[in-house]
Amino acid sequence: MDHPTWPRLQALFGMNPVTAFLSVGWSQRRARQTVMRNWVLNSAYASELKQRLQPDPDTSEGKSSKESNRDSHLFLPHPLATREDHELIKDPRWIIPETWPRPRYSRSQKQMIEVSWLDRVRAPFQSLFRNWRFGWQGVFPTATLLVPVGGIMWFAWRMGWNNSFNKGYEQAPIGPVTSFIGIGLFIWFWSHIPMAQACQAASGEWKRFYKWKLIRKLIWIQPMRYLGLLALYLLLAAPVMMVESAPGLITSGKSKLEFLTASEAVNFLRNLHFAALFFIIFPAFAWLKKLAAKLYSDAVLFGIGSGKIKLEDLSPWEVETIEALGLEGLKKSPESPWWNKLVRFAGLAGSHVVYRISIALIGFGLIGATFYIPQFIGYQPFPRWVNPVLIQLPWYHRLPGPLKEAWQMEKLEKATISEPESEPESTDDEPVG
Amino acid sequence: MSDLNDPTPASNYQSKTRRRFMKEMALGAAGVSLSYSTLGQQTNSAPLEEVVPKDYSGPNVVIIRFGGGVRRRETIDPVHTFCPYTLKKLAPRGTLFPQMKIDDFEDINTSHGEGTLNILTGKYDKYQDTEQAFLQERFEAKVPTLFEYLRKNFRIPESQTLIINGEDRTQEEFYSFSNHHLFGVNYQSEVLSLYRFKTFLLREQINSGRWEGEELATKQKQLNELESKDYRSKGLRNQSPEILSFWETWREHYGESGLVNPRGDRLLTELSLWALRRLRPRLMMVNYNDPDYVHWGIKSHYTRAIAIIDEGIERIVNWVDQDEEYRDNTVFVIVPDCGRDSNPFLSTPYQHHFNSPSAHEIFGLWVGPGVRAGDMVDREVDQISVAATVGQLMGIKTEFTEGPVLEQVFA
Repeated sequence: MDHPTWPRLQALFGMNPVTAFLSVGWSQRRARQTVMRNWVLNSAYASELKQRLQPDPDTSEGKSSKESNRDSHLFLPHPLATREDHELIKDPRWIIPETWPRPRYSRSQKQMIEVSWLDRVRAPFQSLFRNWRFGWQGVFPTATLLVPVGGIMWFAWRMGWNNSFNKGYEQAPIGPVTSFIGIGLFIWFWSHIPMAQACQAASGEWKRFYKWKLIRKLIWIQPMRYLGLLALYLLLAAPVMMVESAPGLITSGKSKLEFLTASEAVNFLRNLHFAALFFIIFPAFAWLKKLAAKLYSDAVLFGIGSGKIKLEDLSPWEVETIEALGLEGLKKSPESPWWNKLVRFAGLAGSHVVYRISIALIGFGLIGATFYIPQFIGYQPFPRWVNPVLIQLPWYHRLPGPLKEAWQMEKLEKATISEPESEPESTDDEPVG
Repeated sequence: MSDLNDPTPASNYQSKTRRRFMKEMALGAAGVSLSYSTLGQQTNSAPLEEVVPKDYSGPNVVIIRFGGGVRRRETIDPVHTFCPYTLKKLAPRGTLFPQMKIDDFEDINTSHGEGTLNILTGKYDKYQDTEQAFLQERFEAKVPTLFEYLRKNFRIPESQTLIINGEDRTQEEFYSFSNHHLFGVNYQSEVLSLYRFKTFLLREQINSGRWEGEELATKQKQLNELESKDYRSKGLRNQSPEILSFWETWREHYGESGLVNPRGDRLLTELSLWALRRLRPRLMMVNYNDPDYVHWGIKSHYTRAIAIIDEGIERIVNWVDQDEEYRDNTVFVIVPDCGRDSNPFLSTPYQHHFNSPSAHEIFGLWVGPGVRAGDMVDREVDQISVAATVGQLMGIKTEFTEGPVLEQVFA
């Protein structure tokens, strides 16, 4: 059965670029759940939600009735009670739906609509379809920024070293200058992307990723907390960097790994990549999205309450939710992180310069850990440059070209050797005599 | 033909070399100078004695360091080679050792500086930067180099023992002499490189009074920075008059911009040809290095660089073949400084040379008078045998080398 946090499935999806979109979609839906839950927990319905989020005692008789109570959104005000927010109580699922189809409130038609036959047919795979849709919505806007920037950095690396190899002194600055342009753009985009992704996830509309005026306002409501999130990206990039660099170093010294056959090497890499996805990459990816969603939801509440942002700036889904929960007038300050005390002590609170310098330093560290160090230790082609796995698509399995070729050759040889030899045609001996 | 019945006890010398190496490592950390004789090891020659230099009448030797780090697959494998001239035209004229290797002691590093000094000194050592700086390779050999042996034994001027060095590894300019108390700087070789030309040029320009005031101060600072790279003599030792004249001619021909002369490893070929024509070296080492650019991951840098070295070897050999004095009197020794990895997990399997088994695998090619032609010695031999073998070819005693002479080389 599809357990909501079935980790093997997450890691398996990351082994393929197509199914990795499902991981993104699931993370987006979980981010949306975080936003929704946070708002409900700040409303008059908090205690009801907390009760439903308690662990369910495992009793066989009462389980079905308790389950239906827990599933039910009926404690929420209209229209949230019958809206299609299945992720509020239960964590998003991967394939089967969180709750089976039921009559729901349609915002566009402003009325309850019955379950159609198409919904019933699609029901067993509803989460799969939603993860796929949210996945594409989650990746596409980020890719419009990071793919060109990654391309610039890739170009700078290749052409810069090409120029160095050919001793093109006359155009020596091309590599470094292009690199710095790419690095600068990456830092600029990346410093906004977590909040932009949260905004997009919460609204369910991919175009809201590009509402950068709003996103910058939300960031500046709680810059220190947001800086903490960005620092976490750097912290979590370190183990990813180690995993990425490992293949370049493990054949050193007395290691016998250089002597593996192609099939053995392929298996080794598969296991390594799966373990990396299982233990590090996907958990980090999902956690960062969840944290960003929490920051987003707090920033929206405070922004609305303090007048720094208007309701009209939000998506219809968010407006409906906030109004139904009665949160427009909530004046809640964002939590102050512990390191903020140090910043205030140093007299640097509210300093845009300090914030920007910190972003730049963290950004440089992240770029080094994500791109340059692993690429030096074990160069990977273009796709790796345009897909930082913690930010965009948690796809982490690719066989190097030479290994793939060697593996194909090996399979071909084995197939040739294992073909049975055809028996020679028997000749009838002429009878003697 | 393979020499399968060679009775030379390769395993014996390897064991002795290992034991000595381990002892030296245990004692060497405190900077203890080890006397060769106290270790009681077998020598290649008679005890040390006062040497009166004689006129040299032996063959010229050109050592081609096929660097920086190449695999056998892309060089001497007939199917995958990127140096067809060296393998298919030159190798049949001499003796190929396809199983030459760098021994795999625990503390031995398979890299360029170490490999170069293995070749020149005939001894393995754990080299460390003189100031223990990270990633710096300012090494000092503790035992003499071939240049020192040659110049101590024969009346050969400095300008006829040459290292031709590239611009990417300036520290190797200063491997031209050891800090052994019986040899050292007085027997060093000269060096030809872009770094040396730039230093010469800047000195000349400053001395000619081209600049004044602030500009002069800036240029003087640049000169100081260039000279500071000389970690052995701190720029205090000038090049010989023959070399200065050489640079003057180079400057007349190629100008001062540095943009007209060939670049990269092609520059080393050009410098080698110029040196052969004008300086007439008796012992010359060419430190090719551009294959090492593959550290940054781009495969074509490796394969293209091997092809460029191959072209360079062809040019040098062709020139030697048409020169009356050098023809039939010059031995070529072609040997890599180290191998490269064969990492199945990377898109560029040979990106680095991190001490993997493949990084220890190299080859050796000997071509010239007195060398057996058309032979292939298909057994394991050591990189440190090069120095002793060159010594025997040139008739010099190499008391401090540890690798045995490769007797199969000789006709």
